Amino acid sequence: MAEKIYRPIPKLGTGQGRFQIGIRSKIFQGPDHLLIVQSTGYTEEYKRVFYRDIRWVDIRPSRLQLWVALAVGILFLFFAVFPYLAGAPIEFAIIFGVPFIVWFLINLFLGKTCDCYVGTNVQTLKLPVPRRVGKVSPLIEFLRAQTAAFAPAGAEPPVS
Amino acid sequence: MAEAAYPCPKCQTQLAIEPGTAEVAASCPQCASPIEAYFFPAFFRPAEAGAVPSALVDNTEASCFYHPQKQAQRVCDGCGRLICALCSVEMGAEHLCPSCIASGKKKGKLTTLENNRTRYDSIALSLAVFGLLVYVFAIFLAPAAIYVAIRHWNSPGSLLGVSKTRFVIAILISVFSLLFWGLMLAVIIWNPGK
Repeated sequence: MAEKIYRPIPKLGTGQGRFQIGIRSKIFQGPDHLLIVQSTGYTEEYKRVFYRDIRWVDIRPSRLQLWVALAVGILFLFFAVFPYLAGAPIEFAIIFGVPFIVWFLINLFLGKTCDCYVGTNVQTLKLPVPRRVGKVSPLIEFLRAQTAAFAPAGAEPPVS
Repeated sequence: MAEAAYPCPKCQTQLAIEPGTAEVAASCPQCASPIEAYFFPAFFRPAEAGAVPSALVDNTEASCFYHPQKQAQRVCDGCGRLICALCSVEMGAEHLCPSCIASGKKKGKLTTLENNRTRYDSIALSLAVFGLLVYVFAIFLAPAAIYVAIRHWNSPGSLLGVSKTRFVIAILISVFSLLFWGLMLAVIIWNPGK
């Protein structure tokens, strides 16, 4: 088995976000670049972003948290509230309703969602992670360390 | 470091960023959309000029293997030939000449140049599992899965370093499917219950 040169980013993981139906995106740290893998299951497409080329990372708020909350709320209505109003026993409503309440609370406590883009001189790429605003700082810390390590001689790091 | 421009993600208005700025959390003055951006050293670095090879001054100087009239500036890390600034291509920590890059790409040795791969292990496993689920097709799918697994056993897998486990599972499932097919055919042909 080949030696693994790609590893998850510390405190961030690889991400399991689906940007399109049937395509799964993941991100890994390589020796001198980030690797974004877009997989259909049978083929993998690779995009590399070299640390020394990263110019900016921008965070754009998304409404995913709101849509998830709405979807979970609707499911809760259909699986717990409506059956109870229609005469189903309360135990039925609790058994089928609690998972949706837990899901709703987890979504609430994980915080606001966002989309994260990385920009170089030639491209701007959407990253699979972080999907939550609270997870942005591990990515920025990681990239600050890597860009400083791979910066060409004479380049000054920004004031942090 | 010079002042650099950052395009607003929504309206693409170029926003001037002071040198040394680490992050900006503000609103775009043009479209008022919120901006949260983090800047890295490359943002303030001026664009690098392209490499220009210098001409040979006298005959005692080493010349480029590909451009005999140009001064050699490096040794190719792949083949050891002397190359000029124009021929030297930086690939990670190495400097390679164009022919090493071409041959490396052809032989699949330069993984940095690869931008896609086919997961034959997943194809073989899918064929085997689909044959198991829809058993009537297993007579075709199981041999196909075995063929894919054997044919691509040594093909490069995922860049992420996946093992041969899927190939092994695909072959085991396919062999099991074929054995069961064979058993069913034997029962039908000899019909021992008659």
